[in-house]
Amino acid sequence: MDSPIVDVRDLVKVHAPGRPTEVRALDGISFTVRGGDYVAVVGESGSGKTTLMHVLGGLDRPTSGDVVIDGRSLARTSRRELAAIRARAIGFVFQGFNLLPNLDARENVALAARYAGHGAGAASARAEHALRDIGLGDRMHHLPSALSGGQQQRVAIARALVNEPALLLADEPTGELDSHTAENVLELLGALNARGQTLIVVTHSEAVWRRARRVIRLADGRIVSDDAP
Amino acid sequence: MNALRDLASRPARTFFTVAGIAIGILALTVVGSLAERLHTIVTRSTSLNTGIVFATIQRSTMLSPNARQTITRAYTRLRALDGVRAAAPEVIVPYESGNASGRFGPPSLVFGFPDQARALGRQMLVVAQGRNSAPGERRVAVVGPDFAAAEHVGVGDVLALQGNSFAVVGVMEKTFTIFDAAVIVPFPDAQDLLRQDVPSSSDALPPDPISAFLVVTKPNADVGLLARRIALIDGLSARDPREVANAVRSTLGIFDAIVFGAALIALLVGAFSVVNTMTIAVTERTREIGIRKAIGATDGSILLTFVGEAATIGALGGAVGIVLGLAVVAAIDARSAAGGNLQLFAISPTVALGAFAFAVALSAVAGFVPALGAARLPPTVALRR
Repeated sequence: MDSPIVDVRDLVKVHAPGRPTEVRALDGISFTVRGGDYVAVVGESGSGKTTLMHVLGGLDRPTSGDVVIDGRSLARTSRRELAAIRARAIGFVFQGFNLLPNLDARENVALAARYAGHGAGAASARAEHALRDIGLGDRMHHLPSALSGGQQQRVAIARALVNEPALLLADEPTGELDSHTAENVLELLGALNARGQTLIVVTHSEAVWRRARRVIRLADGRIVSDDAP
Repeated sequence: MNALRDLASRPARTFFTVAGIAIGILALTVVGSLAERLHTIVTRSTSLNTGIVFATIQRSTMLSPNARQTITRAYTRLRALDGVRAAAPEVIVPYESGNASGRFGPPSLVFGFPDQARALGRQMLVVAQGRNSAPGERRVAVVGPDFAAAEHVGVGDVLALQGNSFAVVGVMEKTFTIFDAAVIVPFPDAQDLLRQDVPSSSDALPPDPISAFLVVTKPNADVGLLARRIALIDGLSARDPREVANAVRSTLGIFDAIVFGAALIALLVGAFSVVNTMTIAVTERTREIGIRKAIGATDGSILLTFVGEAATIGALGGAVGIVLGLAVVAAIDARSAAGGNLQLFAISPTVALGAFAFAVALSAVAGFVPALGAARLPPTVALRR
């Protein structure tokens, strides 16, 4: 709970700059997240949550300002370095699971390990370990289409954790799950955080943000509050 | 492996794209095998005639009243020419009966040459089955393999040549030259056949007629100059064998350009279908590209994924095309062999491996532009689709 894992400094993101459709999605955001934090980013639709998640995850670059993840600046890295940060330092969990349909559970998880530079054998071993760790040891060879929504989201979580990232980013992780399954996924995320995993969850669901230890509220691309739930 | 699985998930589109490449490779395999065979024929024929000038006796000379004197004088002058190591008479008679007359390929001919000719320039004619004719033996024949197949004759059979019976004592090894469709008989028998071949009204043919001289040149002799000097001898005609070889090579070059051009066009059509398929694949899988990038894929790994998929299409199409191409050429050759016709195709590892490598490389190149588009997609744009 000491060293900063995420350091966001005066972050600005403008979509379509200079065009009639220009949108200032993030407007001077600054905050830090320390190791082991469980942070929820909440806000209305269009408040800038998803853009913040994309920039924090190295999927998009800031217009100005910087994001430092685990000591590495995202604003001053090449595309290749950014990919390496996404592979090793950040784990993504999406609302729609986003598993590759032609790969089974183990292969989906192992793919992330392969992108992090592990050999085929080591990647498979890591994937199996990650799947067993979240209770899907008996579903390794199932295609996503043969898994329930909750199981698919657990596979996605295993994929996000397979490279032991400094930061786990989750975008509406229970958005496509029924309440019972959502509860299980939230318990899993809580357990991971209890083991020291740093977590940022983007959500508009009260059931989700109430479990976080810190809630950052966005409105019109700015932080309007940053405190405990 | 993953590329195969991704392709298998879109079976119809993959099938038609692979079929497009396979058709191109089939065409390339067939024409490549055809070109290979033609080049073999030309090479073997050139090798057979290296250091040899063929001096033919003009038919008008043969049928003239003083043929014997003219031919004797020509033979003397021929041997005296600078650059001539030796010269031996040959008799060549067209074979005009049976199935071999209607076969595809060079015309069937009956040859007769004395033992000295065999020692000089016909040593590459090796008997594969049976034996050669013994010195002084008459009414025996050694036949070429294509002739044997066309006429359905083998060792021990009797062959009719212009109404005369000849015992087949041997079948020659394949040489890919005109001798594959030839019959070789003892020299005096060939002279008898030549006498029978001229019009019955003519009684001027000499008692020991010949149709040509096999002229063996000395090492380093100017073969072209020698051929021109032979052509100046009364009653003889000769062509520079290098000119003949060059003319054949030139014709073969044009043939190669036409047939390979046609095959390449077929293959290019297939390549465009790869471009089309990969463009659609990239469009359909944009979200997948976004997911891959989100979990750490570099631009290079995305590029490799899609180029690998295009190359896999090429490999599948290449393999299918080669198998079909080999089946087609084997079927045509089997049919040709059964009819004693010239076997048109030579299947070689060079043709097969070359066609396969070309299919893979062409497909990879065809898939490169769509793959590059996929690699350069910003992850956030890809994830929004």
